[in-house]
This record gives sequence, C-alpha cells and structure tokens, in this order.
Amino acid sequence: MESRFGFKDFVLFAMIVGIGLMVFLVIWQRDRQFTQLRSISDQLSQQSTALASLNRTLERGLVVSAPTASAQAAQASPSGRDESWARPGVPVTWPEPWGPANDPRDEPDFAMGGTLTEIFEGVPRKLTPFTLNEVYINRIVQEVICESLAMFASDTLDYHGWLAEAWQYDPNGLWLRVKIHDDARFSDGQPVTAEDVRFTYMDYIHNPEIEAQEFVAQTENVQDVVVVSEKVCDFLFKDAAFDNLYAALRFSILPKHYYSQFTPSQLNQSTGLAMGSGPYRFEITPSPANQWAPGQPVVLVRNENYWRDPPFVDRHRYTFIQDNVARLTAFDNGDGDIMRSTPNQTALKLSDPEWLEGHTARAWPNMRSGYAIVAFNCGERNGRPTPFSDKRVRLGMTHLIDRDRVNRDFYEGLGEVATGPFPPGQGDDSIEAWPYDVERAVELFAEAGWIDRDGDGFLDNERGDRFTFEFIYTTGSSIGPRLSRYMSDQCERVGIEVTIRVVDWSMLESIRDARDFDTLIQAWSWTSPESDVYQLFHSSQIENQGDNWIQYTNTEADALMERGKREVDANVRKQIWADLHRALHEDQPYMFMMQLPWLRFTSNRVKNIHEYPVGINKMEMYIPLENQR
Amino acid sequence: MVVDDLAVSFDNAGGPRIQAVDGVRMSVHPRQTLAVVGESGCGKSVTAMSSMQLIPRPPGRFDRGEIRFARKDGSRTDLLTLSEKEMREVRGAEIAMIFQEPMTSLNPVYTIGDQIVEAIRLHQEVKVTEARDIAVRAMDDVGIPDPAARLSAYPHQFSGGMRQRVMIAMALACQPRLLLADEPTTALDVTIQAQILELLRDLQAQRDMGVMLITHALGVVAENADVVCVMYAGRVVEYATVLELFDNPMHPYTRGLLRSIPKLGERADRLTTIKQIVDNEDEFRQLPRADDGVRPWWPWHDPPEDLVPNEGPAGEYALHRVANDHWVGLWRTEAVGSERQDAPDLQYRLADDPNAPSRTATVKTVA
Amino acid sequence: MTAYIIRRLLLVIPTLIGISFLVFMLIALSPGGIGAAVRAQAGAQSTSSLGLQEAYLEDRYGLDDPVIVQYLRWLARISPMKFGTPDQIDPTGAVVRAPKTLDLPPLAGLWYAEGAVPGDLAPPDDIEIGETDEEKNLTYRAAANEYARERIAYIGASVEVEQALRSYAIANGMRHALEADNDLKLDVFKREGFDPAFPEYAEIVSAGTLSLEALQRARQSRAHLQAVFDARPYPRATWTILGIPLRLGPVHLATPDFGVSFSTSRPVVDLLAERLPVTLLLNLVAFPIIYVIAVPMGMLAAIRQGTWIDTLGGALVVALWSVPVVWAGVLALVFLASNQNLGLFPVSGLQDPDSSAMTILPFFNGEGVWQRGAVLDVFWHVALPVSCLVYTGFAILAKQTRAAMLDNFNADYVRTAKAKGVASRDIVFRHVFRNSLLPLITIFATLFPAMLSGSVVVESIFSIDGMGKLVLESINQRDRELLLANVLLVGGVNLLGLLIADILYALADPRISYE
Repeated sequence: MESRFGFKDFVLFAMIVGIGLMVFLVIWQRDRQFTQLRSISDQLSQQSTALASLNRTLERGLVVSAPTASAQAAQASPSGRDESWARPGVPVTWPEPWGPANDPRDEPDFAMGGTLTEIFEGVPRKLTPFTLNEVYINRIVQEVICESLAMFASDTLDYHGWLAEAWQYDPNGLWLRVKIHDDARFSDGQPVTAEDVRFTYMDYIHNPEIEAQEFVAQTENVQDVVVVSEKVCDFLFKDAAFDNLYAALRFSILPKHYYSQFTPSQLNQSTGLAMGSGPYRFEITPSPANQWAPGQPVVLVRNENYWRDPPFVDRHRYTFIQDNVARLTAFDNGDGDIMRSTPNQTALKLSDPEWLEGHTARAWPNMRSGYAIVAFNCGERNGRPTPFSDKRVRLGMTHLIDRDRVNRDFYEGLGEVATGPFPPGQGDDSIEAWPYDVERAVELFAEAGWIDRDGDGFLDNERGDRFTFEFIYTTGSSIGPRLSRYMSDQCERVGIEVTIRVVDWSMLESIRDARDFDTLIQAWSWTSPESDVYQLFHSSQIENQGDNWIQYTNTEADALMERGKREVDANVRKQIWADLHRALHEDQPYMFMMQLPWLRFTSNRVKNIHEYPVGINKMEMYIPLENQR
Repeated sequence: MVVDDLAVSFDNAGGPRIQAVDGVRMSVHPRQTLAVVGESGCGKSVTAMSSMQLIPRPPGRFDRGEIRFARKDGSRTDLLTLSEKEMREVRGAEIAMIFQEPMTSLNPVYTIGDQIVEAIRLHQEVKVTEARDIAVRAMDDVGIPDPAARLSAYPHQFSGGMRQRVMIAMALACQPRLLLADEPTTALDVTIQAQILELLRDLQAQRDMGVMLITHALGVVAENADVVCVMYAGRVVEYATVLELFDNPMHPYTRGLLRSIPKLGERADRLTTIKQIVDNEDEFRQLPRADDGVRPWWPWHDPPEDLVPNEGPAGEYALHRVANDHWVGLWRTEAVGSERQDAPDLQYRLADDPNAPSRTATVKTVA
Repeated sequence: MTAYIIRRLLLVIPTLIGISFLVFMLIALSPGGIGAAVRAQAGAQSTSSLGLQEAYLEDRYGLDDPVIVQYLRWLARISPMKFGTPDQIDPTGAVVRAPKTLDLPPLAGLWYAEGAVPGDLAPPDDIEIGETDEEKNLTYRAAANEYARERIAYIGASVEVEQALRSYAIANGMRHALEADNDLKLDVFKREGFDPAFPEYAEIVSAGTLSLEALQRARQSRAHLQAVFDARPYPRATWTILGIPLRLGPVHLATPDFGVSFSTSRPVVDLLAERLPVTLLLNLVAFPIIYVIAVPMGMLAAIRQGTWIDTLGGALVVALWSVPVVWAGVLALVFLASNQNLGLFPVSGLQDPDSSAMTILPFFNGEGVWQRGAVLDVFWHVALPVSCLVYTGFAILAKQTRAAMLDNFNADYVRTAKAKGVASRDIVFRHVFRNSLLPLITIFATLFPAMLSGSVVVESIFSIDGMGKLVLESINQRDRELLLANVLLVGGVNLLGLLIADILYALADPRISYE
C-alpha cells in the first residue's frame, strides 16, 4: 500500500494539472485579446482608407449637375422620370419605394440604437442563401442581410420597389425588364448591378453544382437573365405564368464579387456565408474559416454602408431554443423580445394581467401563416373507390364536424374556420363556412346512398358494404391524436366506422404516392399573397406521382386554375381566384379545417410593432432610449 | 492470559439473545499450548476472538467476566476493558491470531509483502526498507523459500500451505506473546497439516510464546497440546493436562469423543457414537464422590434434585477441580459448594515433563 | 498485456464493419429514403420538377445503385486504404474525384435500331490545362461546371423518357408495368415491347431521341473533364511521409472520407466536431461529480449500515432516481432559471451571447465589480444541465458501492486485518474499498459510452446542441451518412470503453491476468 500511488500523489498531480490549465487559459486569453485588437485595427485601417478616398474625391471636386438637355430630350415620359432604359411601347411600372407602413420617426420617444432579440423555435442548419429551404434562412437572411428587387408592402401587399426602382412587364408575360436603383450598394460598398442579378439566377441558383434545387423549382420559369446595361437587366420567362413576377422580384440578390470567390463545394458545405445589400450584416464578413455555425446565436450589426435610411436598431440577435418551456422562460426573463408561442401559452398569458403589463400576446392570420386540412382521397384506393369519391359524402363529413369547437378546444379559439386553400385576401373572403349540422350530414350521406339498411347501427350502401374508412395521421402531429378521436366519435354517432392509423412521416411519402389512404391530416403554409394551388388540385397532377395525391378531378376547377396560372392582369386574376374558391368550397376536396394564425409574444420594451397581412416588420421597430441594452 | 468467567451473548432478531459462551474459564502460559476442543458451535472461536475484542458489538455483547493478560511491559490488564485504540496496540503486537481459511484470509489485491509490512509498521516505528527486511526474515522463519522475491507476489500465487505460512509469518512478525490459532490446519491436507503444526511448535519453542490452539481434531490435540480444554455448548466440561485427559477422561462427553474415534486393529460393526455415551445415565455416575452428588454438567439432562444454584448467571454450573490437574464441569450441587471458582491454571508443559512419554506415544494412545 | 490490448483493438475493426453493415441494411430497407426527407421540406411542387428533383438527388447520392454496391462504396470511402486512381485535393481542401459515369436512358435500344446507342468517348489526347495553379484551377472548375450542366440536362431528359413511358403504360392499360408507387417495371416493357399504333409511342420516341442527344453531349463533356482530371490540376490526396507518397501498386493511403450529411449538405466530420466537444464537456463535468458524490455516500451507508444515515441516504437516492429527467429539467428551468422564481441560472445555451468579449478568467474590473470570465460563464451555464444528468446516476453507483462494501465487510481478510491491529478507517478505505472496486469499474464501462450518446432530453430542454440531438436528428431525417458515422463513433467508443474497463480490472485485481 505504501508503494502504490497514494492519495498525496494524486493531490500533487491534480495541482500540477490545475496549474498547467490556468497557464494555458491565461495564454489563450492573451491570444484572444490580441486577435480582437488586431480586428479593431483592421477595421480602423479600412475606415481610414475609405475616408482617404473620400477626401481625394472631394479634392478633385464633385460635379453636381442638373439634368442635361440630352437626358431630357430622350424618352421624356409623362411622369418626368428617366425611362431611357425601357423598351418602347410597354408602360413602365414605378412602384412605391418600400418604406415603413407606420413611420415611427415622429414618435416622441423615438431613438436609434439598442438590440432586438428574437428567439426562434428551431435551429437553422445553414444561413447561406438558397442552399436550404428553411423558414429561418428566410427570416434571418432575406430582408435583413440580403434584399430582393421588390417587396410586399406590409399593409396592402402590393409590390413595392426595393432594389428595383422600376420595371416593365410584358403584357404577354414573357419578359420583365428591371431597372436597379442607382444608389443600391452592398454592405462592402460595391454597387448592386445587373450582373449581380444575372449571377444570382444563372450562376448560383441554376448552377447544378450548387445544391439549391428547391429554389430551382421555384424559379423554374425563368429561362435566362440578360444584362442590358449596368443597372438594367431582362428576365426571360419560358411561358406566361401569374407568378413570374414573384419568381423574378422576390429572391435575394447576391453579390457576385463575394460569392464567386467560393467553390460550389465550399458553398454547399458552408453554414453562414451570407452577405448582401441589406440593412444588417455580420460584424465580420464571413469566410469559410470564419462564419456562423449552428450552436451559436446569430448577431447582426447595422450596415453602416446601407444605401437607404439607416435602420433604427443597432443590432439584431437571434437565439434558438427548441423546448417550449425553456423558450417561454427565457422570454419572460427578458432574454428575448419576440418569440413564437403555442396556443396553450397564448391562452395562459392572456389571462395573466401582470405579464400583460410588460408583454403582448398576438394572434393574427397573415400571408405567411397556414391552414390545417383533412384530405379526402377523392379517387380510388387500391382499385376500389373510397366513400369520398362522391362529393356529397365529403360535404357531409364537413357538416359533421363542429369546427368552431375544434377551434375552441384544440387551438384555444385562436384560429379561424377555413373555407378554402387561399391566404386571407386572395380568394373570396365573403364565403361562409359550412355550418355544423349533423342532420344535414345524414341527409347528404343518404342522398349518396349510405343508409343503415340492415339495422346494425352502421350505414351501408346498395352493395351492402359498410361505411368504414381509415384516418391516418403522422407521429409527431400535435393535433392528430385528438382530432382523429373527435372525428371518429362524431362519425360513430351517425353510424360510420372509423379506424385510426398512426404512421411515421417517412411512410407518408409512399402512402401518398401509392394513393393508399382514405383521409389524412395535413397542414400547409403560405409564402406569398397569392398561392398557386395548381399542383394540389389540377387533374394533370394526379399521374406521375404528382402532388394532387387526393386524385381530385373537376373540369371547371381545372379550367379556372389554368386560366389563373396564365393571367397576367391582377384584377382579372382576383376574380378567377374568387370563382375557384367557390368551386372548391362547394366540392370540398379537402375538409378545410382551420386557418392557423401566427402566434407571437412580443415585449413592450420594443415599440411600433404592428400585425400586418405580411407578418411583422422588424425594420419598423425601434427601442426607446430607456429600454435599450 | 487467563479467561475468567467469560460470558458472551448475541442479538437474535425476533427472539431471545443467544448465549454463545457462558462462564468459560481457562488459562494459557508462555511456552504452553492450550488446545480448546469441541464441536462446531461450542463457543471456542468466540472465546478466542473475545480476547482480541474481534466480536462485533452489536450484535455481540460481553455479559460478564474478565480476560486478564500479562503484557510485554509487565502490566496485567483486563482485555475486555481496553478501548479500541488500546486494543489496536495489543492486536498483532502482543496477541496474534491466525484463522482457518488461508485462501480467503489474505487480501487478494495486495502483495503479501505489502500485507506483512503493514502488520509490521502498525506496531514498530521502522522505515519501509527496514520493515521489508523484517518481513523477509519472518518469511524465512516460517520456511518460505526465496522470501525476498516472494515479497512482491500475490496471495493467489501461493498454495494453501504456503499461504498459512504467510499468515503465521504475518502474525508473528511483531513477536507477540500469545498466538491464537483458530483451526489453522483444518482446511489443509494432512501432510501440510503436519508441517504447519511442527512449524508452530518450533516457533513456540524459539520465542517463548503461548499458543491457544482451537481444533476439533483429537489427533492434533494429542500431537501438539500441553493442556486441553474441552468445551460444549458454551461451557468448559473438562480441563486437564493432555496425558491426564487421554488416560483418564472424566466427563462422559470427553469419553464419547475419545471412544468414537475408530481404532486401527479394532473390528466393529458400528462406530460408537457420542450420543450413545451421553444418553447413558450410568456414565454420569462415574466420578469420584458421585454418590455425594458430584455429577458432570450436561445441558440435555434435567438438573439433579440437590442442585444449589449460585446467585447470578450460570449459577447451576461450576468448573470444579476434581483431581490433581483435572477440572470437570459439574452441576452445582451441595457437594460442589456454592463458592465462586477460580480459573483453572495449569503450568504444565509436556516438553518439560520428564515423566512424559514422547509425543508419539500419546498419539498411539489415541489412534 | 500489450498483446491482449493490440488484439482487442484489432478486433474492433470487424465488429464495426458488422455493425455498420447491419445499420446500413436497416436504413436501406426502411421506407421513405432520403428523397422523402428532403422533399418533405420542399412543399408542394409540380409533377415535372418533383421527378427531376428526385432523379437529381438519386444521382447525387448514388441511390440508384444496388444497396450492396452503395455499402461497399461507403466502406471504401471510410477506409484509409484506397484502390485505383487517387483523388485530388483542391486549394480549398475539398476532395476532387474522377467524373461520375453516365448510365444509358431506360430501355435504350428498344425504340430505335441496334447500334444507334452512342459508345463511350475516349478522352481527347492533348489537353491544355494551363501553367500556374490559378489557371489549372479555372480550367478544372469550368470543365466541372460544364459537365454538371450537361449531366443535369441529360438526367432531365431521362426523366422525360420515364414520364413518357408511364403515360404510355397508363393509356394502354399496362398497369402491371407500374409499381404501387409509380416506379417503372422495365422488364415488363422489355417483355411486351411497344405498339407503334398508340399515340403515346411517338412521345416515347421523341423523348428518347432527345435523351440520347443529351447523353452524347454529356459524354463529350465528361471525356473533356476526365482529360483535365488526368492531367492532374491539383495535388493528389495520397498521404505522404517526408514527401514520399504512401503508395504500393494499386493501393494507396489517403484520408478516410465520412461523407456528407444529406439533410445539411455538410461534411459529417464537421457536424461531429461541432457537437462532440459539447457532449464531452457536459459529461466530463458530470462524471466526476457522480463518482465523487455517490461513492462516498455508498461507503457511508455501508459503514453505518442500518442506521438512519443508511436508510435516509438510500431513500433519497432512490427517490431522485425515480424523478424523470423531463420533469426535473422543466422544474429546474422554472424554479431555478426563471426570473419569476429564483433566476439563479441561465435558461439555455452554453455561453453568454457576449462571451466573445469576455475575458477567459474571472477578475475584478475597475469598479470592483466581479466579472465572471468565459470559463466560469461556461460552468454557470452548464450547472443546470449537468445537475439533471447527474442525479439519476447517484442511485446506481451508491447502491452498488454499498452492496459491494457490505459483501466485503464480512470477508475473512477483514478479520485478519483487524486481528493485525489495523484501524477501522484504514480497513474501510484500504482493504474493503479496494476490493469493492470491481463493480464500480463495471459501471464505468457502461457509463463511458453512454457519455457519447449524450442525453437527448437534457440537451433539448436546455437548448444545448450535443451528440444526443445529433443522433436523434439523423435518425428522424434518415440521414444515412450521419447515422452511420454516429453508429461507428458510438460503437467504437463502446468497444473502447469495454477495453478500458478490462484493463482497469486487471489493474485493480491482480488475480485477473490476460497473459
């Protein structure tokens, strides 16, 4: 025992290790201070070079010129603006420049500065634009770091110009000429040019080596982008489609000079190579060696080179907390200003007056929220028609379910009963939802031939088959278990037998491809004011594993969808969508269950938060001086 | 060491206390081997372990009695009254004990060098290197070949006999005055048994050490003991010199023990059992003055009518000197008297006795 | 002993191969595949682009090969021993491989005359790739991009052929030529041939002709790319010692490549390197705490067996063990981290958001206010998660220690030691405890690998991205490469843990020997 490694030796050893560790930490600390000093001096030298070049320019003398005669002579347009770049014969659209819908700069407590923190409910796997179709890239990169040519106005959802000053859209829908703002600059000072637009679409999104396949699909219709002059480019479309404007105007424009220095594999594997012309940027321009990676919060600082009015808040910070309880705790602690809540949390906090003094709970549907449905298989399943191939049965099912009660019980009354697949504003909002009417449901079933013929308590058809169907939902669905049980209760009351089946999400794909289901619970969300439902309901999308997996065919609806897809005039389109909405409402290919609002908690420390049809607009928000941290 | 009226009892969960030892008296002198004989459960190990306070208390408890011991520095102390700290000084240095199972009695994870050195350094202020030298010498004394190299060997690398030698070396490393050997050879085979016992005898002679040898084998007793103490059911039933005991066993139980050993050359269809003998009432009337009421004590018999129990515990029993050098456990009848007895004290050593035949003769008496 | 260790380490390799084979086959058999994971994110799309995307994914990840081929390819990638032409490494460190081969379109040869299928083109002989590294890089990049575009175009054309075949089958009542999920059964077509009378036949022919033209162009650019590759624009990926490449005939040594995760397109190694230190941090802090608290508790309970310390300690430890981590985590959050209650600890993450500006070590700044420093900040953040990880481990370890020690208290050598005069404290620590180590080592062997799988629940509640969440995500996403790498890592660590435990047994108990 004496000869062995004794306790004293262990203590000695631990002390040596401890001292070694301390020395290492001190060295590391020195090293980090040194790196920070170096980056500060780098920034200083950058600024001094910029100042020096500015000095030189001033010394040479700036020419501030009035519009010359030649410029006025060429293409003088009725609006008095320079349209020399436009093609002849087609009217130019000069959209409103995008700005805050509620300008807070006149508020008495308005101040610049502060940090705005948003807590997300999931961690983005990447922030490099277009490499992943995740909602977080959209919320953090789009409109904050990068900008697109146009943007939806927060309140009216019209297209307002952003990077684009004006554009010209072919009446036949085959081309779009865009004039980029003369002042538009990226965050490193380089101007935004047509070449950058061409690079973004042709050499980035449509580059097969870069894994941007989801965005390829969304910009499928863009055949080419042609550079006309430094600030003017042409989009050429394969054919006229109503979302051509969306495809051309709503995607972030990336700087060619920055992104072309990376190989495709570097871009594919990167996590945070995001740089653009937006109001905020990463403090250090990202490079493969020095970029954001999952596991850290995202911190963006104000772009001092921003080519428009400087944004109000100094910094944007995004933290990621997946657990609902943890997120709410962090928010209540003041670690966040905006977070997404669950219906339960919203209901809970709405009844807490003390909490409501410092925070606000918001619930509102907008163009980015979504809707929940029960999908009916309107065709054959494994060779035999399902009960839902008859539209009266589908309508009966909708009457059988008390959707208001579902709203109250499952969504705390925060949702709205849905009538169709369109976001608010696209379809006909005056259509009334089918009422909860069990007798009408039984009538409809009887009309379709489902009557209890043999007195066993279940409905049967003429052939003697019992009315039975299967209800499928996926594991991980939050309302699946409860909704399916409620529906099966209701069905059994009128004599319909329901079996419930839970499948893993990976099975869902093959179930849908094989059309091997009776009903499914699903939820979709929208991304723009006009949602194209062609893939979901057009009969041509049934074959070849298309997304019309409910096998819905309706020639009238088909015709409406085709016309709407091609219609370039927005007003005509609106009428078409209204008609389509009515047709789908009558036919109930889905049971349109609930429109799910956006649920947000916001802190009252941040001012000028409004609930818009577009969502919320972080660029309008400001933080009064006393609340700034 | 003198054990005087020792009584030890144990807690019995859910029942009355179990009296393991009740009124035991015996004594051991230097260079003397006291053999304590009895069947399993008679209390011989408990007596030995009590002298080193190795009985866990609770559940054990010393009800009464003294164990007087003459220490190296000349003082006499009652071992039962020593504190744990004082006892630790006694254990190993003054009294040592070796146990029955050499296989498990050594700690398997330490080398035997470590274990012996531990024993040495507990009682002697020596440096490690010196202690190792002492250990080597101790191992050499007990006959372990190549002791310096074996210091770093582990117990599992030794055979049973070797391990017992190691135990003995460890026990004797600090030169104790008394060695308690609790069935040291029961787990060993016969040839090794003889070696170990011979070793013990040699060491005893060299060091003037007393040995309390606990065993249930009468052959071992015959070969090694000077004084024999026969125990049954926690009490001493007979206490005599070895020759006296084998020549003239007075207690029926002892007679039964001796007669139940099969003898070479004797033909019999059935072995004599102890039970045969102790059930026989006549056997209990063989003592001198039997008619006066001197009867051997036996727990399975009813007490005699003329019992005059003493005040206090074990009052019905007395260890009474019946003849010269011969004590027998008796019922306390009028003839025996009601005074308290002293512990039997025999200074006898066979080796010193000029009249004694050699050991081998004793052995022949038995087998 | 060294021979034993080496043997055990060598045995790890076939074990891991076996495990990876099993997992690979299981994933291959499970429904959905990667296409499902990626498509689930994409939302509704038109038929044509869906088919194209799927074909594109299958091509990129090599999913249209038979499963065994895919497995062997994966195995070849992760082994340091490589066969055939070495890969090259471009200036950014990415691995550049020889261009992929092109398959013929479906049923090529059935709708036009024999011999009209173009053969593979030989690479051009003289190819100029430039002088400087910069030029070589540009040449290669241009050639690679061109081949990628042609390949995509060709894949698109192949998909068109498949769509045309499908329409033909549906229109002509050849339902049996289609699988349940609309895949084509090509042998049915081969058997039954085509009837030129049907109108859909013309579509097949035109789509087929276009696809052959696309194939020709793709083959041309492939030949060009192959020539550029063979001219070695970049240095080779072979390992070198002092400039000498480790190459013997067709075999050479190069860095193992664990592949790219499907769901994030990032190299698997990067993902592991990101998550592993987090889990290691949590567990390296948790491990000693468990041992330091539970073992003395067990020892105390054994020494004072039967007293109130023993009963109370036992009850406490079992009560803690009964509390599910989910609940405990939430309780800890709400009571200890929320400012409405105690607010002593942070809610999430591993570091303060401003930690990059903090110093490493704590100090007092100018006004005498104590600054935490980055190191202590991490420990403060880690306190709650570690507590949740730790409390369940107490029960097992404490009870095991107690039981083992009680067993050993009754051992004979304890009696011997007491008889020698050893003090009871020394008996407990030196004799009894040393012999009770074996069950503790066994527990260590099981805890050590559990370290690396992490604890998903704790990581989710406290928003710490560790290995546990990574494994779970890879399973949910059916992310094959990531899952396999995880399996290898966990399997390897398990085996290593067992080996370490065996070595520790030998050290702790001299009776155990591996000679």
